[in-house]
Amino acid sequence: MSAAQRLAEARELLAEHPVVDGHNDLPWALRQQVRYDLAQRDIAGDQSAHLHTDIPRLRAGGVGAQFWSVYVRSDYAGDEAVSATLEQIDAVAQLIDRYPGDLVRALTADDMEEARAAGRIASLMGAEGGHSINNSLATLRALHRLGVRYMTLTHNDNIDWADSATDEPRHGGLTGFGREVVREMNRVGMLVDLSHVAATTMRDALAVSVAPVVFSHSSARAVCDHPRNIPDDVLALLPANGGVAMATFVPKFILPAAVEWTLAADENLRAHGFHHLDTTPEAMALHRAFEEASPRPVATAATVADHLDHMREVAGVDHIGIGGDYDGTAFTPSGLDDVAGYPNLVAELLARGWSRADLAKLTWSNAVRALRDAEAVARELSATRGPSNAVI
Amino acid sequence: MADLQDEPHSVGVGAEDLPVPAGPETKASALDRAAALLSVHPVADGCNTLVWTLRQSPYHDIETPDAGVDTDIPRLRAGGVGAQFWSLLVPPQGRAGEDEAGDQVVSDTLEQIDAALTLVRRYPDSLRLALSADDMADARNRGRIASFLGPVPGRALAGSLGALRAFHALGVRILAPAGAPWAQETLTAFGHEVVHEANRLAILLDLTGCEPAAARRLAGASKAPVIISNTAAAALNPHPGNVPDEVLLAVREANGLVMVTFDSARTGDSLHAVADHLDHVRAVAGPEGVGLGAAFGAEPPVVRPSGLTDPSGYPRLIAELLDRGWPESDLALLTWGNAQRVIRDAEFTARRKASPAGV
Repeated sequence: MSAAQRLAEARELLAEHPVVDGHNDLPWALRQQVRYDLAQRDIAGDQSAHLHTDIPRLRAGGVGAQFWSVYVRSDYAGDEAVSATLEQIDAVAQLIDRYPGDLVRALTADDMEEARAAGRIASLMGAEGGHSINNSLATLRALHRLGVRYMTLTHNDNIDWADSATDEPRHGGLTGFGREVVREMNRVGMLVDLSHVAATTMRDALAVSVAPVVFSHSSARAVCDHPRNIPDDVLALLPANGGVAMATFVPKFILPAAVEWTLAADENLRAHGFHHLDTTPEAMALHRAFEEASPRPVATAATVADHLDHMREVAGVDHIGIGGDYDGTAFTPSGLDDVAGYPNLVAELLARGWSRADLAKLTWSNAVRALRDAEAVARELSATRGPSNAVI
Repeated sequence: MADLQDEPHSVGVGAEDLPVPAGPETKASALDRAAALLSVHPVADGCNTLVWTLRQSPYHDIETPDAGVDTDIPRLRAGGVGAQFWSLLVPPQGRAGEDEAGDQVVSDTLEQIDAALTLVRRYPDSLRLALSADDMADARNRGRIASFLGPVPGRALAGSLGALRAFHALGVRILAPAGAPWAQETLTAFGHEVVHEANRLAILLDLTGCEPAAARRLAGASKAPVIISNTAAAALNPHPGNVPDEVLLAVREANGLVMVTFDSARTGDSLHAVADHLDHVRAVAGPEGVGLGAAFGAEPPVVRPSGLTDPSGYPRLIAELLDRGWPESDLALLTWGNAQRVIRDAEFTARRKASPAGV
């Protein structure tokens, strides 16, 4: 089969089994770029000058369901984090209202299936970091009532009840309150997302959760040793848990050469007195000069496929998915440059001999199943247990 | 919109079947007439702070009377309460143990909403969540107490209309601007946006606690009726929480509703004193501008007027007003009709805003 035939087959497969993507930061990009003035970024048309995401490219990419991230920066705390999260949720609601022919609000696995049957993109929400609930389980329940269906336990920084993968260990995983957060998420039917968290937190959460967990955008540490990826022992826990690890495309997490390049680039910034996440013009100029002197290694669909091959091996084909992190990362792999790229990944996997049945699980049915199972667990738990009012 | 009134301003069909006391010369006592009236036009009370109280001392089961708190379902039933606005205000100091006052008001408000929803869900035979005027009528027809969520504090918006829309999506239908930085002496540009958005969402503005100047501006800016959910007449008692006649007139002008509290410090310490305030508010704001907002839901030692120490006292108050010559049609407005009207008017305003022709 030629490359062109494989791509055609990939598109045909995606028409039937579209992509459920675990993480897209369009809402934050809209907040940063235009303060939610959606008219300035009309995603009904081509927005490739500003965004990885618009409706024509989602359609071209074969996306059938999207978890829109209602992320807020992890240096936000207290009410500031909560208000900003409410604004992000509000922005997603406005997007859905604005494009009713293409987006449809989805709260359940049934809603996802209905959207697929109706040719709409099921729009779900995921919160990215426990700072969004300000140590309040009632706030967690409010997010759930407002439609949020997963919460990543931390973002890049530790919080009062959980350790992040990219911060100094403080709690050694989840605290007692952190375990109660997981139990309450199980009770209300919000998926526990273990991307971004420390491996200790992953293991603690998997020990407590009686519902499937997700990794909304994380890949395999055995393929690329980065703390944002999932260790094999944790991947191996997914069959018993029923969860799904959704491989991400972020080059600096998935390509070893890009990890090293990023470390050197960050070090270069720090050596000149900047924070490594600084985006001021001065810092960006420095960054560009570094990039000219030392070319940035470029990931491809094959890089992502390497992770998925390994994840399928360790976690099993029923426990893998896709979480691109579009509009949440500066660089994307070649061939997966934006949300139109998913067929290239599917074509790459076809070339590696993945069966259509396996691919259908990867793109669509594993994620839908995880949400459906979480709903069943929530029904059972909420029949016997009232809301938790534990405080930290 | 009197022609759209949901209820005739008179005692309804059921009251005609009530037993008539023996003896041609004795007419039904005022208390019996009050009970009959309330059975058809129950009390829609504008303020009860039970949600916060239960969060502080959660060991009450409100299905059984308990001296530790003045509100429970038996006494709400005995008082003829058919609708309740459950206040979700957060005391200014916020969550205990927080250094920075106010930094928790958004989460605290979400916790209040959660606690109110939990309360309503826990007593489904007695309480029913109400999101609209239709829900209010529906709850009464089912013999449940229509439970409206609000007000939430205006300062919980923290400069964000997204938060207001989130509160609305969670079921909140009343917002209290008092204490918000956008509704101080003047209404800021953001304050005007809040009023506009509240009108668009059919969220009632509760002006309780606003300075008279701010109250007049808010009443003037709002396209929908405003309410003052618990207050009394400053003309009779110059307590800082009571409203002067100029505000009563402004509310009347805006087809709004002033709901009189039962609080000795503000009304005086007898049922007669409360009735005096109701007389005054009716005289100034008009029969269509007066309601009841007792502000029960606290733990002792809030001092209440004798005879009105808990929600079971409403029939005595209605009997007193009958004795004072209030027509039954006005009493029906006082207890139920006016509250239902302001909610329905707010919904009409919202629909007008949603339709392009009405812009």
